[in-house]
Amino acid sequence: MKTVVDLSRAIAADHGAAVALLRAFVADRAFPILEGDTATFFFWDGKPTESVHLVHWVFGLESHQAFERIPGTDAFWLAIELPHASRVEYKFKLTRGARSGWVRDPLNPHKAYDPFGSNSVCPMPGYEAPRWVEPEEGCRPGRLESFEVHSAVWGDARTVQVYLPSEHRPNKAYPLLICHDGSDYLRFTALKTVLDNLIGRHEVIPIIVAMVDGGRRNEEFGAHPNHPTWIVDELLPAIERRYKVLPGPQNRGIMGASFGGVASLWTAWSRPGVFGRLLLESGSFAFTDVGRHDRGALWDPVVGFVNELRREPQRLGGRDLRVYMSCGQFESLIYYNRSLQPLLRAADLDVRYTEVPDGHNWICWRDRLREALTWLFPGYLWMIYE
Amino acid sequence: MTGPVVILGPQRPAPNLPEVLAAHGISGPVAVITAGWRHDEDELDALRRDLPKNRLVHLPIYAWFDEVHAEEPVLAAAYAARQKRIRQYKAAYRAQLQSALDAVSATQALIERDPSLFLPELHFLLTSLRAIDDRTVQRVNEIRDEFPATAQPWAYPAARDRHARIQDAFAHCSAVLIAGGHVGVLRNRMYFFGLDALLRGYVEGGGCVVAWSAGAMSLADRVLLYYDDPPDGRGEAEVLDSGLRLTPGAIWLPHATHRLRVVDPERMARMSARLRPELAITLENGAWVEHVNGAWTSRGRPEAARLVGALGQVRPLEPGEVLELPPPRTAPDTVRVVTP
Repeated sequence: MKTVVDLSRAIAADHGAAVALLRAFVADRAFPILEGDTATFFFWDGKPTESVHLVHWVFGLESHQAFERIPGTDAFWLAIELPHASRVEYKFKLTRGARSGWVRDPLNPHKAYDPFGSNSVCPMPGYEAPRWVEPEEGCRPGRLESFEVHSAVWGDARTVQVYLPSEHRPNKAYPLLICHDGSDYLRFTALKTVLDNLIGRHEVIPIIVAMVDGGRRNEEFGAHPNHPTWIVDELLPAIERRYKVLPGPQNRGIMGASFGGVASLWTAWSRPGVFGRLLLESGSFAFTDVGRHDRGALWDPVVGFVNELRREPQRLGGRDLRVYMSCGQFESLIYYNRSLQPLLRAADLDVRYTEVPDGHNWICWRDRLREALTWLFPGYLWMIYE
Repeated sequence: MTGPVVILGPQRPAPNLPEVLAAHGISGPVAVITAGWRHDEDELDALRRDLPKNRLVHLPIYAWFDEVHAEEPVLAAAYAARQKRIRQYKAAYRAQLQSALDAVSATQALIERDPSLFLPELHFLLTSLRAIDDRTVQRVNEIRDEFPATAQPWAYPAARDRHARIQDAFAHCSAVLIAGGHVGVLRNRMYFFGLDALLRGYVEGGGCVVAWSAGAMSLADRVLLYYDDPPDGRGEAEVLDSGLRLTPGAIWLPHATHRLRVVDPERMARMSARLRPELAITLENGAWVEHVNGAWTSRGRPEAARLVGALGQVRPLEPGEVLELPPPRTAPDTVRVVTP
């Protein structure tokens, strides 16, 4: 039995065999069923169910699409077209009696995690998880350590996690990359393993990565006037007191995703000449051409900043600033990112921009790290044969 | 009688250097060149652990190079100007290479349609590709000739003493070990201190040279850089420069499994054709190929050293297999492998 349609016909022809047919069907294949550019989602767990809907975060694709019931059963299915090599995170909304709730696809073992929990994953043909996200033979692991920095501007102490490459020695200076949402990057993008591999392959020069988390994250990362002071006047000196860091903006990077991207660009824009390398993933760079935005008060400073940036992008510092930007095509932010990157190029910044058929999620951000880091901090991969 | 030249694969994770030295009866002091490790060149702890019975006589030519430059500003200025000019010239080489490789790819795609029509074109293009590679070696040498002040750095007072220390080490050591690392730095530092001639003399005097990874690459006639799957660009191999010419007829390709698409016969065939008449030999951890008594023999772990064939097939060298390396470039291509 190849397809859901075949299954429906078989059940219609022999209703008494429905459970056996369903059991055989779910035991026999991987879910969702992927054929060409069509993904067929399927739900059946043997329990009475009123309805099933597909919950996803693909901007532009109808959400909460209803599944079709196979007549006379509690099995449901839904086929949708998705682009080649795309990757969609999703859940099912089940309605049973008076209750309804979101669950992961029980037939799909592929999961993706984020700070809010986990989702099921539908990787379309053409998508492959990169090899360099798993520990690689021959790549020596760096180490993580942490220390506290008292922040006068925030009025509290902040823990900074620091990645030191395997070859790190206290008397040698390294480039520095400051990473917003560092704990999430470590947890959800395997950042340490990625760094170990890319440095071990000599694709990325050995760097120190200082990882910070926001106290009141969205408020602080959303173009807050205190944030550049914290990063440049408090955090950076604290790092440089503790570790030898190479001087010059070309050896200093700052990165983040979503609001972390805003925090990075906002800091670089507020303090031009400090950071020469920016890594901005799915930056929440909302702006308005006319009128007010409708994203809520949290976004007011962000929109104000991006509007100002669009008027004066050259303030960032021109050709010496290298910027890597990426965004998922399934995000509402794609419009802003697409619009911003030519503007930065026109201001003579050295910009590399990538968009992929994925969403606003940590795996999408993980998958871009090789391209981003090798461009911002290239290693001597052509030259080193150990 | 010349001494052995031993070519090894990467020494991680399982070094075979101790076994190689034992096999050649080398238990005394050994001279060690680790300039490829650059600023880490004096970190010899791992080597000392691997070779507890051998006294290591370190030749820190990476640091010496900087010291000589600091002491000899005229030489330093001429050398920097020379290297800058070579780097500038390389843009022309890469442009030529790109055009030629595009033409090769386009022609390879046509061959299936009509081999008799397009194969001669492919052969012509591969010849052109070899000519471009040959020319880059020639041009780099010509650029060097434009800077006579850099021709014999060891003749400068600041370098003379260090050059003598190398000679002294060679006189008292039963082997010279050349580690991997940054192949450009290693190759240039060795030439800077005249190690091409010193190593040749050392081998001709019966001394043993053991080199691995970038060390092995730098001993060939020319140094080829390769990385088929780089994060950026197409990953086409390019010739860096001439090597120290201690292993004529072979181009050593360490870490081939990671760095090359060895399972892509079309790509490997192109590399093989491009490198002719030299023979391309891949080296993984455990590889051991040596030149003793006029013959090249594979002695390492099975599968660790492999020969890239003319059709792009990559064939393991059997332990004990004798390799007949081709004659110098001017002679016709006569690559043969003899299995005893």
